[in-house]
Amino acid sequence: MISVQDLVKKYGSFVAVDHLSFEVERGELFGLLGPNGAGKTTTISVLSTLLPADGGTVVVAGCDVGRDPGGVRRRIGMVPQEIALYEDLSARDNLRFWGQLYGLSGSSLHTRVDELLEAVELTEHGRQRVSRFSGGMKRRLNLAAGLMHGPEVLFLDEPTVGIDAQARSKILDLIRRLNDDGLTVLYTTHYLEEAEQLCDRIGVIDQGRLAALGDKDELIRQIGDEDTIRFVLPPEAFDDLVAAAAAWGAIGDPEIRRGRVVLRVVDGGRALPQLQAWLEARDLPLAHLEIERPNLENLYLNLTGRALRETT
Amino acid sequence: MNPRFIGAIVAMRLRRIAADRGNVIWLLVMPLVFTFMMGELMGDWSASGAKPTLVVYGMRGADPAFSAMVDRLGTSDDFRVVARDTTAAPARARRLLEGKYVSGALIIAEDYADSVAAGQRPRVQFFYDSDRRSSQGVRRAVDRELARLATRTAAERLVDPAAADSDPALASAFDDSAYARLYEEPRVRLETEVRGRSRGADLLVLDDAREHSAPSYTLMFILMFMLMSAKDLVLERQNRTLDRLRIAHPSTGDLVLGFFLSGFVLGLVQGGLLLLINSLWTGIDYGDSPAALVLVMVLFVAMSSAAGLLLGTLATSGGQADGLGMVFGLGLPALGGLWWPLEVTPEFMQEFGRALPTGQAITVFHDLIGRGHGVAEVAPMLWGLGFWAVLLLVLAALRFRRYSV
Repeated sequence: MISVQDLVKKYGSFVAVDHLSFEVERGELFGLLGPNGAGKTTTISVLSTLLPADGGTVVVAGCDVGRDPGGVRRRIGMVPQEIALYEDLSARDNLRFWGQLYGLSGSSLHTRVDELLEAVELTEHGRQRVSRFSGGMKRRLNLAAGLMHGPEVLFLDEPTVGIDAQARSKILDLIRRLNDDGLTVLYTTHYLEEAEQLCDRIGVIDQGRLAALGDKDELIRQIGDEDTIRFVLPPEAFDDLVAAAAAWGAIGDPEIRRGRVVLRVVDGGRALPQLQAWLEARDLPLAHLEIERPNLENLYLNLTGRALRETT
Repeated sequence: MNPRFIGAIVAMRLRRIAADRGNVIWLLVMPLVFTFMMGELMGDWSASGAKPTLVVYGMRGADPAFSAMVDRLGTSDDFRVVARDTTAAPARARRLLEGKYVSGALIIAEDYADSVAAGQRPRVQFFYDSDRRSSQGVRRAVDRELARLATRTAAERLVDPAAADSDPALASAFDDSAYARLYEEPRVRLETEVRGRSRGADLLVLDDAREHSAPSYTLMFILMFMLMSAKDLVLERQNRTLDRLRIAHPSTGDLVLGFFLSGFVLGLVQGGLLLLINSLWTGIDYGDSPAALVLVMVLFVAMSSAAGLLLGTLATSGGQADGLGMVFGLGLPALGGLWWPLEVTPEFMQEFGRALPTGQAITVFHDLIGRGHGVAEVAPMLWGLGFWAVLLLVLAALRFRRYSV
């Protein structure tokens, strides 16, 4: 449904998207995960024909964005990161306007407006000015505006920025329902948990380049299956620990980082009782224990050398 | 081009303007306040609807005939006479006239009666402003009465036995009542009719300052509102509603026309209402050519809407759009003679002003109101306005296209 091959986009000498390639299948919910400035919005802008590409090929719903932008536009819906609505008009007037610009009129327009207001749970607020809406309500209406003409592909550019957990959950549920109904979704976010929860596949993007691609499990496998155990240990016992750890399935030697021992093991569940027994035998306490399963944060750290939350 | 898309954009933008009631202040209230305020402040040619004033200095009692003349001037419906039984220096009369406190000043010399008695030519000085219509009207009346006085004096001398140049044969022939009757009912009457208005090309020919302030502040606030609306386009770019518009079905041409026409329709409604209110309120007569009036409004509003659109495509932030809108919204009216008539500025500024759309539009209004011109006479200025409208719209469309792939 979406094919991106060697996409390049530059702003002057700055390369915002650097030979990016990925494919999205029909009916798939695909996530582009990366920090602000990674190139997500630029990518989505090129895919939705708002920006010309400087290189590469992009095909959306069978239409080349360079050669047939009109064809692409007819098939896509876009929900920008900003609240792209007229806040001085009512929700209903906004949807009606966007519907008119997609060629809807008369009863079909009226019906579609009603359907979408209901879908985003704003029927009761249809005649209210958007400026009086909460952040979550605006986000839901923003999403509805992108669906007026029943697109085949929906581009969502960080649609949950700046709203609370409850509102975010409503939007994610709505996106999941739309995807279940067959809508192909390209979703950009810098929230790891959203990408993990929502997306069938995830492309990790950093500095305009695709750093990793796959479903959640595939991505995590790229950094290995090992668990990480962290705890505090008196320094004099560290050498003994190094000697004992190999027997618990440790991968490599334990290290000391920021005053804590970092022990990577094949299976944390099995290694932990053995560690406990080893400490009790020496009458040492198990202090500040932390066990970490592999996750996308580790993957991102591994790929870029930076934690995702440090870059957003 | 798709009229349905264009219509939807126009309707949406007008609905947004209507949704903000504060816009009424800029659209209607401010122009009317300025029209009234500046009309009041701009001196005698407004005079708050009062009659022009002729001030007469001199010892009226010194000569009954002259006194009768002043009394007759005082019966005029077109101006009022303020008589001062004092003598005045010409400098004072000139100052009153230049300050637009009066439309004419008549000074009767102290030795007027003695001069008449001695058979000399008496001296009467009259000051008026040839550029002011009210002043011209006063002059016509004074000329007429002076001619009457002169002929009477000459006739009296002809029959006066004491006068050196008198004709003894006519000594008893002068009949004062017959003279007055013949003057009032002459055997030959010259009928004159003014067709249209004064055609002095470079003169300000308006009767009332509001005849300037009403069209000028209408034009100024149309332009100002359009330029201030440029910020809307910047905000549409920033909140990405413009992106949404671009990926919807309308073409770039539809979007440009939609934005342009929304301003155009609004400007026509605003301009039409202001001209109508001013006409009803102050009784301004916009001339004898409705076609020229419609054309100047259509072209000026089109130019203003295109200017606002162009500014919106040039400004990179809302603050910049506001600042530039204010600079051009105040600067163009000032240079083009909307704040004050171009006629009071130096020659080179008048030429420069009439090259600007604001100067062209107000010149058309002056020509319609003050000179009774029609489409043919104001055509050069209308062509100028049309040129500006097309140029700005083309530039705006080219800038707008930069947003599109």
